[in-house]
Amino acid sequence: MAEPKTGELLLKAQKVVKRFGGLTAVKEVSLEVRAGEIVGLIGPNGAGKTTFFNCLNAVAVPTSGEITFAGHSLVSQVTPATGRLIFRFSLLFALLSLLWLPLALGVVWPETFFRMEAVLALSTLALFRIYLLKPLRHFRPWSRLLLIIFTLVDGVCAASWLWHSPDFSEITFFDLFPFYPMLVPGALVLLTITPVFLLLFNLPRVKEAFGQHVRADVITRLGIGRTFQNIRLFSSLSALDNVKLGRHCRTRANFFGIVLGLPQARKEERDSVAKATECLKFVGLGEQLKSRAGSLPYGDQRRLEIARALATEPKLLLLDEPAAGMNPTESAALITLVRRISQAGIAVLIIEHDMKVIMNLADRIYVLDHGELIASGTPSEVRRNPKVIEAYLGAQHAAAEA
Amino acid sequence: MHLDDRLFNDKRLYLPLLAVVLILPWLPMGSAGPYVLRVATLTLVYMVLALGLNVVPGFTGLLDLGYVGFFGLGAYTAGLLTVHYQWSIWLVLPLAALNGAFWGVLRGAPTLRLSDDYFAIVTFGFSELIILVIRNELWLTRGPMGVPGIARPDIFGRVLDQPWQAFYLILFFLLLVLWVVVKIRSSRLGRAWFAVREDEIAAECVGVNVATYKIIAFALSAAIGALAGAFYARWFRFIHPDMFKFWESILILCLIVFGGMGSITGALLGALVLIPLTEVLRIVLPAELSNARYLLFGLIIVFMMRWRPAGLLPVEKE
Repeated sequence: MAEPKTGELLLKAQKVVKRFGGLTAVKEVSLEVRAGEIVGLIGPNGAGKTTFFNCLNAVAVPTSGEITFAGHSLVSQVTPATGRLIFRFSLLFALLSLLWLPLALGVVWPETFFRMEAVLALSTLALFRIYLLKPLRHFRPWSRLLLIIFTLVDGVCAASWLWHSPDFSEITFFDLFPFYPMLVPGALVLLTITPVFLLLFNLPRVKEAFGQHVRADVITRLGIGRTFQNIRLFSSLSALDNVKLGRHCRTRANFFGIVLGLPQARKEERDSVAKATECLKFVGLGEQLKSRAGSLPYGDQRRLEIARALATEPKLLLLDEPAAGMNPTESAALITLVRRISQAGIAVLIIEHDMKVIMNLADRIYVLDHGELIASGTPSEVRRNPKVIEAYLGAQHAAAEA
Repeated sequence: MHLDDRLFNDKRLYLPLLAVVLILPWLPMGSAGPYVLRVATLTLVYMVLALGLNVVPGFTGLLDLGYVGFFGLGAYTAGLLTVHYQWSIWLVLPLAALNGAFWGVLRGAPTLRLSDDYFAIVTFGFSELIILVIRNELWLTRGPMGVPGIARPDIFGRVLDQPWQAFYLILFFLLLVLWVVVKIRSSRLGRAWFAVREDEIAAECVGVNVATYKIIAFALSAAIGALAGAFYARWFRFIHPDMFKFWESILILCLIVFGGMGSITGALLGALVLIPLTEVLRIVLPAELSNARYLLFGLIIVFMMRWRPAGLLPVEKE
């Protein structure tokens, strides 16, 4: 994939809203980040900055709004709750269809499988299918028709079975058919396969139709890396392992490759060690490879988190208060580090309370207060904006400044 | 460097250990020989179980109180297939492991969002369900009558009827499982599990699909448990629902708590110390007190909590 050129639109958030019950933490915030930029996001405590960050990488699901990143839509347009419900129901539907299989197998070994329970299961299945008709009404017309056919078949099967075999142990439903050995099991297997096929092989389209929520790990793979306000390292692992975990989304080795020690898997492992070491050296932790992440000094932990995010090869890096709790020397080092990251072609969106850091770094700044975007612009514009002064220092100061 | 890495990467450390185990059946032990060999085989079975259980609570940090369910599932899968079809152990064992993995996934899928105690309760309930089905579905499992007369293990059409042959067989399976677990532990898969154990949100944010990796862990763990069960059925030649009581889950959990959660060497060591200990106590204690030997387990765990809360060979070294 070609790297986006500087100035190209990378992240675009439009009217993002996040509600927690009655509290609206983020109110219609729109924001843009272009490739190569360092963008600041500031605001008083509780302004909703971190919540907004969480919405950007799907740690929290926005209530409404649109977020696009490098051409991918990160928020489904169907409301997530409905989308998820429908998707779950359709998975359940697929699973239920799988239940047909033992029944089909039952034809092969009738004495084992054909019992009262099987009849009950069949009737329940039919009931379930009828129940499913409702949530699946958003399906494409032809698949809805299939569903109706399945339901009818289930119902007829169960009914005829009950009707024709008052003593369940003797006559089976399959005695009704002349082509007992081949046709019926074949038909049953087909019935089983069709809905599974319908769902699984149409998965992308089903997801599109139902608005499957884009997960955080998918977003990381798309190219958004982040750090956390309260450091979230894997504290009992070594610094190197932490950063190697960052490589996770860029490696492919699966269970069998690893167990059999296939050359590809081994090469990948060597590569991720090399790349992780490189990232650690980049942030200045080249000496601490083997130390336990949790026992590193605070400033180093912050840098380790950045190294871990860098290892995911992000196009956009979200930094949540990277300078919190740092002394002036450390935050000066941080400024240099963020500059170097930016020079490496990675856009940075940074939340920070330390004004010295943010005014120094950011090309543009967005200001949030009580979940609302109150100002945006270059650092000098924002510094003079009366609304910003009011939000930080109160109305009196704003009046005095004016 | 962690002890696991040291032990399994350094030939000078693991070759002597392996040599000791390999010559064990040939040590001159007189009349005690068969008994010692039996206990050794049982210990190896529990080592496999401990390694398998270790995958879920040790690597992904989810407490599993129902491991015996998969042990029983594997034993019954293998036992029934053998009794009905007289298949070879080399066919029955993989089938049992697959069946275990299948039910492991089925148990895991609905519990993905559960954590800590809630997950533990579900695992407990699920294993009780398996045992209840085994006990009550007479047409399939013969229920409380048990399944007697299961064929011994075999290789290339030859029946392995000597105790030492069974010992080597389970040793082979143990090494196989050990190979898998050690390889996985130090790979991207193992790291993803550790990440899930440490912090699920951070794991998601570095690109780990938490659900998938949990499911892989459940499947692997259950498959190993079922494998041990399948060997057990073929070796012991009789299975009964009472052999798979809840107590066994706790016993296996004790092994890894004793050794240190998440540590492979610890799981092996736990089985190596505690399983022979129960046998030694069976001899030492008078007959009417022999069941009291389990009290000692409680005592050991209490002392462990006091002096080595992270187990004998803790994963983390400060």
